[in-house]
Amino acid sequence: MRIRLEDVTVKFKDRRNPKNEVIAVNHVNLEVPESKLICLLGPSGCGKSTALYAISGLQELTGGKIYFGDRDVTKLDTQERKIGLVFQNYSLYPHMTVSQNIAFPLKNAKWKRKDIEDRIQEVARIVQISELLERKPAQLSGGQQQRVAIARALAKNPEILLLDEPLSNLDAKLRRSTREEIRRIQKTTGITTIFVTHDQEEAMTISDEIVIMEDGRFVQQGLPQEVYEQPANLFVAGFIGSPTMNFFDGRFEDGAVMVGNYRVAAHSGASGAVTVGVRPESVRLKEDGLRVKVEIVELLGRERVCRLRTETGELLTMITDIDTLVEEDTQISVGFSPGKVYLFEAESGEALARI
Amino acid sequence: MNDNSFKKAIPYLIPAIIVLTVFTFYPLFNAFVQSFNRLPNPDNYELSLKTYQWLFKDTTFLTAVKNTLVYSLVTVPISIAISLMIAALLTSINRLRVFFQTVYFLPYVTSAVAVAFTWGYLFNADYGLINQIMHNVFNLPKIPWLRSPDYAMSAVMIFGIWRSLAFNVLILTTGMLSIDPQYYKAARVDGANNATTFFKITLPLLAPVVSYVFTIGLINAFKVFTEVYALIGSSARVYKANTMVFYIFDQLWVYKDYSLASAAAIILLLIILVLTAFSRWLSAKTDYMN
Repeated sequence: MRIRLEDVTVKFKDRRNPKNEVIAVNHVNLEVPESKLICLLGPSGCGKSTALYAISGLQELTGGKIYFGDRDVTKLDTQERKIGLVFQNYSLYPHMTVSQNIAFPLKNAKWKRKDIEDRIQEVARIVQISELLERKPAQLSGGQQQRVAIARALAKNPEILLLDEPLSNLDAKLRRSTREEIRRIQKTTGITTIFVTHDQEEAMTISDEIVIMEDGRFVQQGLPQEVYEQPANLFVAGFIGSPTMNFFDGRFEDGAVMVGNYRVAAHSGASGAVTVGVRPESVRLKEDGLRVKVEIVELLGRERVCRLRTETGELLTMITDIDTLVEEDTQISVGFSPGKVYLFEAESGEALARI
Repeated sequence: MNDNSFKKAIPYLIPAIIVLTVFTFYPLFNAFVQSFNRLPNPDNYELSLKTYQWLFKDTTFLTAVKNTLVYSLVTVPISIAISLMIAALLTSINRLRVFFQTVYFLPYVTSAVAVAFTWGYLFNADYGLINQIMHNVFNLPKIPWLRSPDYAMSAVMIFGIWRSLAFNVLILTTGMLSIDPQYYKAARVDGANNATTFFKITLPLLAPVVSYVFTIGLINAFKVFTEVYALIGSSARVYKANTMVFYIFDQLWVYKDYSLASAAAIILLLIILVLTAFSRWLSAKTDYMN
């Protein structure tokens, strides 16, 4: 089922100061194509969960419209929207067994007993919890609870699956396997899915498309590689990628972009200030480049992560392959790979060009 | 525990042991011995089982036991049912909740004797509000609530239910508010209506609290005395509204029969012990984590 958000806004009253309004979701538009998995990605407090709850119907809109396919669902209550929702803490009913948890939405929808039993078996098979059906949630591990929550959300054959930070309560190893699991389940069922996370690596690996949110606005929507390679602004550039992108105060001078005394590349742009961004893997050793001091070198098997400091005191990160010898407490000179340098407007942070 | 840590623990336990011995174990032991004394007061001792034989032949005592049982089994469930309803309504409002919570809690902090005085007016046969309504609205005959062996116990139970609401509403409201609101969101997504949500989510999650309120309520109900004495007065026995504690009180202060009073107290203690054991079993059973 296709999802479309039109100018959706959600405002709250500030609890401490009721005269103030907090705009959690600020006039956003979104298109989610059928059967795709979309990640809503952003730092905590950016309004991504609120946006998800608005789509689910648990959160009322202040303005705007939401369509599922051609159906306007803005005024519909949650249970009429045919959605499945997985909560951050799963919210499994602790007094019910796994199979009672899965059966609960079906009983409420007045399914026949036989159909309920069949459906429990079916979703249990999809999420691989068939042997856990008689247990109570407290007897399950975090990962198992997670799968039960997905099973309960899928039980009623929803047209849309919504997941609110579903991996944040799991440990690192389990997180990786569970996210592959979610991807597999989504592919098997072909259900349109929106996944909220603050973890960019999670978003990059799992989703068909990423929507990046900042302060209640959707800043950029695109393929994972696209938002990585063509960030729309400084915020996206800094948010996506780990280690994060290096930024420098640069300037246009004599038809070139300069960082300190380093002539980065020729560029016939405007004159004046510009923010120069370069990813750690695009920083490499280069004579006549930027003079830096090597402060820390981390060996990560395949590569070296070097923390460098420029003569003007700015920190930057460089990733080199393991064979390139860089030693701590030495002076080196680095340059930026051509075609991998991002220019942003110094004032607004909007992306200007890649050179 | 090994020897060493037991030795270390002794100095810390001594204050508690002294207090418990003086104020709990000694009186309890004394009452126990007294209950086997054939003679009515503790100056002379002649141990036998006679007191218990007399006790179980005493129709006043048997009425008291019956009244206490009826009182407990009627007031506690009804009070909890009403309290659950009030608590559910209280938790569903946001504005003025604290105000209404306070109003509902007031009977708990006011003196039972003072309130009973007011209820005495309400129950008054001639001009009481209850009879007025029954007579004028429903055209029913006027009932001498507090002065009739047929109705006195009912009046006590109505008063008792009203009195116990305060505590129950407070505890149940707190219990309901401590349920994670996420479950209600999940229930909404799962298409549960209000009734389903209450019976399938709220009530089971509240079960440990309900079983606590039930236990406390039952124990308090078995010890009911103030309600009877304040509403009906010393003639409760005449109007068949006497309870076990009322019987003990009567034996102590009216008939000065310490032995019979002690025997009745021991029986009451045994009943409450059984109830407590039952309620512990019940609360283990209602604990949804297992």
